[in-house]
Amino acid sequence: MFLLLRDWFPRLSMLTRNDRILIFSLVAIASFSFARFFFTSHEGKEVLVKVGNRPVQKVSLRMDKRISVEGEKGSVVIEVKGGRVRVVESSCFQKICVNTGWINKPGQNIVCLPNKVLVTIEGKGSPTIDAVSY
Amino acid sequence: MDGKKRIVYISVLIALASTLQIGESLFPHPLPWLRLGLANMITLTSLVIFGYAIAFQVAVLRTILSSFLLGTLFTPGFFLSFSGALVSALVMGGIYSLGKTGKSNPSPQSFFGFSIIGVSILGAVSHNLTQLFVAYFFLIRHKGVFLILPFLIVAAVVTGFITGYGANYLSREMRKIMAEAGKLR
Repeated sequence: MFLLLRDWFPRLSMLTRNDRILIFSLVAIASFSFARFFFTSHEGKEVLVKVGNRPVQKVSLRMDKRISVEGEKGSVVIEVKGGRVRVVESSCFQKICVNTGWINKPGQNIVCLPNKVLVTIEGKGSPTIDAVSY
Repeated sequence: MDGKKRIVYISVLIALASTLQIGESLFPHPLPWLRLGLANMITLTSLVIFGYAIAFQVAVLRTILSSFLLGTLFTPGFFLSFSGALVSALVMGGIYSLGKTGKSNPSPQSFFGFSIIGVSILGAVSHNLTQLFVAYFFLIRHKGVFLILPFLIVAAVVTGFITGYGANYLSREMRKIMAEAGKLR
């Protein structure tokens, strides 16, 4: 590694002591914040279930559980298992919520429009970005 | 330096910097936010040879000129690049003029104990941070933007190192050429 770097940059000795300190501390800051962002995001995630605009239930993502919620058209059965959530059964017509499948990241949603049911994951973790365009 | 010579030097430096920036934009970027920042080499060189004021003008004018030629003038990308260049030139010029240890002919070793590579890395980091904050406050306003911060810092260290390394050679050669022409300062 160092041999390779020396081959590419033969005058590495021009780096002063302060340069080395700067590079080291910047890389340390970067890796520290990287670790903070990406390794602590799995704590404290909660599943929030809303019907219409009002929150109905809030359960931890850590405990396996089955919840039944009364929507506009009938019941919706939500399953929490192994840190993930899905809608098992719904009284709606197209079953889009059921076909959404499992979600496990903060910011992800399952929606059942006919029942006006929204299942969303909340947490300290970082929201995922779908796409960035510029 | 008299007015005419000054204009000539600034124009040549801006032309060099814009050429580097435009040429660099023709390279494929697998990651859209990752650029080498070769134009920063010219800013550093003009900082070392001509001082703060000219370096600042070169940094500001080359972003305007190159974005004009690329057709990105007044797009969001232009404001990102412009603010980044502005702040990084301020940071590098600040380190340079505050850290100068009273030598008549400042060696690259005189920036608060940083070599030109350290100055370049600081410029690259401040460039990236400025862009990130501008993007956050004016374009995206979503905290998810800051997820890219560690990558940006590491990228700034790498690209700042490479451009600083290049600027070291470039400024030495430029000094030689100017001394040969008998025109140094």
